[in-house]
Amino acid sequence: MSDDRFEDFVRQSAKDYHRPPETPREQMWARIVAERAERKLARAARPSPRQMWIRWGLAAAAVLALGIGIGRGIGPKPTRPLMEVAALPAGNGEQIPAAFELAARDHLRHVETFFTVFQYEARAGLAADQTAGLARNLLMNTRLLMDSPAGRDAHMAALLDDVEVMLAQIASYADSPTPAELRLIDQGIEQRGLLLKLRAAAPAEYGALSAQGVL
Amino acid sequence: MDEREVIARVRAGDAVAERQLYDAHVDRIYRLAYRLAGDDDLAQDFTQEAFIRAFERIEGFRGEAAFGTWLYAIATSVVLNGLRKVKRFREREADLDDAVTIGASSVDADPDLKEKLANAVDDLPLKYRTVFLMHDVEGYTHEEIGVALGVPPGTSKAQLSRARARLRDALAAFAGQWAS
Repeated sequence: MSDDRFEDFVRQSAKDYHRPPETPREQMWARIVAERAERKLARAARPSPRQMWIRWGLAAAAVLALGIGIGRGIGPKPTRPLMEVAALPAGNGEQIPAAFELAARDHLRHVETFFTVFQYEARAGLAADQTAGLARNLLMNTRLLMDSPAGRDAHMAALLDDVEVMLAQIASYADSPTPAELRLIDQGIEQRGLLLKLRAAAPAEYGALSAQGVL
Repeated sequence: MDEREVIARVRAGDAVAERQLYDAHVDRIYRLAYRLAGDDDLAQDFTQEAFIRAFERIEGFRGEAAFGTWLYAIATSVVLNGLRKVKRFREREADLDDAVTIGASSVDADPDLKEKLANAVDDLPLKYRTVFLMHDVEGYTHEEIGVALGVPPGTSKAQLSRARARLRDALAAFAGQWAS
């Protein structure tokens, strides 16, 4: 037997191997057009970075509000008049109610994310329109926490002070910050070691554990 | 019309030109997908995905090779990756093989021998089977196969030679039928 004969035989016989039917041109074309349109719509519906920022901000505010609400509902009731409690000096060793602590740490995690993205954008010379608005939201929540039992812990109070200062700066450069202004804020965050402090105060795994403990 | 002109129109968003490109190449892509998958649904899915990717990436086609060669490379990648993902491919392939063997008898080969050949082709490693089907059955050149699989043409030739050797071994018992 020769190689040529074998190859002819195989070529001839293999034509029946998975012999294709007539190409369903129109059917496939219709599906290609539909699938491309669907993918285009899906891409358009994907949230932009700005929309993501807004969602983060809303989520942060919601978590904080929930934490404070839970704290008021199930936390220890003050045994002294409120004005008297609020007047206590920071760092007096008083235990922070767990719900306030949880809310504070959740807030600090959102602040950390905000600062991280802000630094990235500032270094790239970007300034998203929503940045100042988000800073104002976080600033408001920070001040609420400073006035809450969470703010009576000396370490927490110091951290919240630093956070307030930086958020206030970002919020004040609302409309069109210059690259120099962005650089100054970026340097401020660095010099205070804010990101490190925030990560130490609110480690990522803390949220789930503390939520289990409180709720 | 010159294909380069059609491609330029596709890049400009001309849907008619897209259809022209599709019509020019769809048969070859679908046939190859069907030969490799042995399943009409899979072959259609792979063909569609190949064209969708090609239209999405056409900005990146620089014209260094023929458009067809570039498209076959995309299609081959889609088909081979798809086949690896489809777990039930083997069972479907076997079912369709049976149907094809029973329904088509245009070649004067003994049914047992045809079945044996189909099984032998199935048993080839995917890369050998791909080269064998592309070259010996669908008529692709070694250059086209090389671009499609990302290997030198010499590798394609070597793999075809090994595929044929394996088929010859598998069909040794039937030697008299092609020698006569």
